[in-house]
Amino acid sequence: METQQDIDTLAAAIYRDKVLRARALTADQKIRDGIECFDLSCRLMADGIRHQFKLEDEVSVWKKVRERLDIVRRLEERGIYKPTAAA
Amino acid sequence: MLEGELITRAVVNVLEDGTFPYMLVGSFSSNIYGIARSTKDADFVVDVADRTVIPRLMKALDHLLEFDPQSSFEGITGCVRHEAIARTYPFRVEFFERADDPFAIARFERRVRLYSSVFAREIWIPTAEDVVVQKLRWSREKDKGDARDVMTVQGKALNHSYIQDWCRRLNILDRYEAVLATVPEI
Repeated sequence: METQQDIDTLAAAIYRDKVLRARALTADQKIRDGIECFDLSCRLMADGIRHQFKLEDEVSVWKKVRERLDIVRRLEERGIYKPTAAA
Repeated sequence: MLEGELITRAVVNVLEDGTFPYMLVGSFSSNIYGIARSTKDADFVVDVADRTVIPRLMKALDHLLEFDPQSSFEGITGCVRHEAIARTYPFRVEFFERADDPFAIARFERRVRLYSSVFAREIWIPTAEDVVVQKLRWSREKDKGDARDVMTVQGKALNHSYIQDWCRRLNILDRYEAVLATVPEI
């Protein structure tokens, strides 16, 4: 059975790989990686929503994707932002 | 080209062609200097000494972005945020008015030009050191992770004296030291 030390050693090795990979990439490659990660996560969310709600209408699917992203955003930003005077 | 790239490129083009004073911050900038992670929005700091900047930006981007008519005040570093979401894709764009505190001013003055083929032009971004300091100011778990990643990837290229000086002035030296302790020698 793996010990915490085994897990820590593996985590350190994985992080080292990530750092070395990041150093070998250009800024543009890393910009695109970030955008692609988000796009993939949205498409996976959409797939899950189609399956869960049996939706075929893409407008409804992507509306639910936005709703889920909004939930995450509200959680991340809780207590950080307050409304200013109305624009 | 993916939607997030198209949208950010369009915003950058409006900023550059309109000579709006700006820099691209947030996860775009930490991705550039650190380890790339999912980018769900594009964050820009804009100098609003000219008070027509935000209304002009909103007008120029109205075809692409739906702006929240309610701006918000961000309580960690003290600046005003104007939020927008792309009309055709769940990607957000946020414009932060450049704050007037000494670090915000210094960070903006130190911004650098980067040629990016993603945007097919030069763009303004903060320096790696300023990304680290700003992330330490925020200090949510993902910000600490981003700061650690930039510090580790940049290694000896980073000016730690500069970072320490600002962290001391901002009273967040403990955060810097805590994150630095997690940076491995690679």
